[in-house]
Amino acid sequence: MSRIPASLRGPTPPQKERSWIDPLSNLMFLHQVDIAKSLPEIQQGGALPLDTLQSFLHEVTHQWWFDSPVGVCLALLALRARHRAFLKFGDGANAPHKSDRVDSSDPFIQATFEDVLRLRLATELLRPLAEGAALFSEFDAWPGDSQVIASPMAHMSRLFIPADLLLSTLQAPQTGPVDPLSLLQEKILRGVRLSPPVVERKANLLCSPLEVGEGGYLAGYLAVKKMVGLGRAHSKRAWHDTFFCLTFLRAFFYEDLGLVAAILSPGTPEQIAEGIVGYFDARCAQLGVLSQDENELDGVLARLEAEMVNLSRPPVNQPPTDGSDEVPISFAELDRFTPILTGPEIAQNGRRLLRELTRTVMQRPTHILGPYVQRTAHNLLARRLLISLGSQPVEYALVDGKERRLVAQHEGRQLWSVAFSREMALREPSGALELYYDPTCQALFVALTTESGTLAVEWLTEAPPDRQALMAEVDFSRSLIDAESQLLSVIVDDALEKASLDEVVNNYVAKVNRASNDQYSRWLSTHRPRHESCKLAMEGDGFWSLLGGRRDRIEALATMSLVASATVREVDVANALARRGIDWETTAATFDQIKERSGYRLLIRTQLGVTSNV
Amino acid sequence: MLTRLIPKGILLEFQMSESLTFGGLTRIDCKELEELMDSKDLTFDKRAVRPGEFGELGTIVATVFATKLAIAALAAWASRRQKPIDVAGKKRYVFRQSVKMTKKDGTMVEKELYFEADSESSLKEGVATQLANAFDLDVAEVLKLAKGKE
Repeated sequence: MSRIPASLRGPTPPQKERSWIDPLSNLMFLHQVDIAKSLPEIQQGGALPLDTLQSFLHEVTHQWWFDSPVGVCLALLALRARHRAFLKFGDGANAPHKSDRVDSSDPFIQATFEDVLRLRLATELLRPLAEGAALFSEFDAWPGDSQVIASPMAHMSRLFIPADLLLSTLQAPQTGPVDPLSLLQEKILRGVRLSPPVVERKANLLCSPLEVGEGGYLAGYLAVKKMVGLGRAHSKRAWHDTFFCLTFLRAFFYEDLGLVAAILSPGTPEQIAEGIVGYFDARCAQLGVLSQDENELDGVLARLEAEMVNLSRPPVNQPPTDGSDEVPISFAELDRFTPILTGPEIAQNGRRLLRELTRTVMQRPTHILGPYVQRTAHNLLARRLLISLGSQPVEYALVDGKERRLVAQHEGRQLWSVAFSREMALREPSGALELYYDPTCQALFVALTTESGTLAVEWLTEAPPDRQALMAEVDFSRSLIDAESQLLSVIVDDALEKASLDEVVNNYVAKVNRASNDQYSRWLSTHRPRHESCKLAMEGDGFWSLLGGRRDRIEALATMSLVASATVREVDVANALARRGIDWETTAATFDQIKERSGYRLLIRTQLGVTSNV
Repeated sequence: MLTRLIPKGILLEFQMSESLTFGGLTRIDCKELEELMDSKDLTFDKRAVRPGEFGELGTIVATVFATKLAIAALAAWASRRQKPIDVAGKKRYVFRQSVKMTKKDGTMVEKELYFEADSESSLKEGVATQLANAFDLDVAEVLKLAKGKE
């Protein structure tokens, strides 16, 4: 039985073995962060442990890219599908589980089907790109001399550098082309990226399938490396700051109102699918041309940088704070986005369609369930801007003294306490302490939650009153968020299945995946092996067979490419390999032989030194 | 030994397969285990990414059925996987892995395996001996099989 995707189901049950993000709520789960341990540290001005940095960079890059016109468009589509199905069936009388069949020609069902179709097709097409960017952020991106600090670096500074060190670094004078903070960020990244667990993570990536069906990690990663590599070869601005390259790619794809227009344009299912795939293909081709035109690329990057510095691009999904039915005010800020190489008419169409979508989601429906539907939409948009750092199960106790306090404990140890009104009752003795970071004001707060709601929100650092007021109104209970998502998604799920439309969606997704394989393959055309047998082998297990099924060779390739992202000096590569007991000369000779045999250039020698496109 | 009466009045006797489940494996680990083991003794739960969800590449959970050959292969893999670490100027081979052991009667035991040795071969012997004992297998036979898995 086919199921509707997790983006409609809401946050998946926490998988403890891996970190993940739900693109609808933008809620992250970082599996390595132990809040019980880290919270006291953070309160003392300390930082999150560096062994969680890789997971953080990965998920926060997703969060950054999804907080964009395209990301918000997809989230709103998911929300509208849920709400449409809920308004049709949610009062119980018409629930789809009460009958065997749902009329597929029902306008509500047709509209839900279209939303799900647009969402699934765009999500699957963009997935390898989004995963590739997150992996590039983990393994390859470096801050440089751009005036724009990429979001992952800004958040890393605030959360992974102790407060006193951050302050002294920000106050230190700049003595070279790169500012002291970027130098410190670089030092931290260098230390973490050559550690054995990160080499293992990279080796794991290199042995994952090249085919996009299983997430498209390797295809997306190699494509993003190629996109950045092309840009760096033709632009000094791109060469010196690879995090800025990610900023550019985010703007090019995820801030593209042309892509929004392609996702939302009316049409038959066939036209919708062709429209989305066709637009994405054309956009990729446009990037290919732009990346090789030195003057044009430098000009675009300069304009983007100036716009981001001078106009300070706003976040796009700020919900209204006054409970009004109006379109959120910051959506008007879409006018301030100057889309990169998107024609003004197409961009205008994208703006219009996104506003219309927003209006249909945010307005309170004239229905008994209307207030509930509107509240969930407001809650969701408010949370999307936040970075969730972790969740800790706790037991609650009320302590009476001069004032009544709510105490959150874990294994008998007090983690947090907050003033609690004597009029309020504590109905549930346990729940979870959630730690959040609000990037809009660079402040941290905790939310004490139970299964049915939020008991208290308290800020660890100063925050503007309007942010405090907004967050006081938002639900942070993961159980509640999950339960609401489950309720809404099951209705969508059942409705489409009983209207026999779920298989139609899946068939279109399969078509898009084939088109996606072709598109990402084009980016890899210069890396790809000549022989069909090698190509086929890579589709199943990446570089594993190509390197003779040898762990030492995969680890050598992972180490070499991690070093090569920071330096082209052969001696640095040789030293890093030597520290892992790997001989550079032997490795280089092996990689040369593999190139002879398969046509795949694992190692690139230039006048400056060595580099890798893996 | 468990018994169960199934429809049509046929009395069927069966026993649970003894097995060892452990996670945190990379794709390289899986490839190596596949090379060393008979495919019927090994299953993987790859926790594939679900449609709509985004996140880091997951690690993989393996279940090894506790046959003599499989335990010998597992010991060989465990010793081969570990790089020696330097402890007070001496090379030490360390294997640490959280596992769930399922016994014949269906009970499940969670434990952390920890072995330390001064060579790859003694690490292999240590892992093989302890796992063979844990599953009541013939230790000498498992050790012999493990030696063959170079």
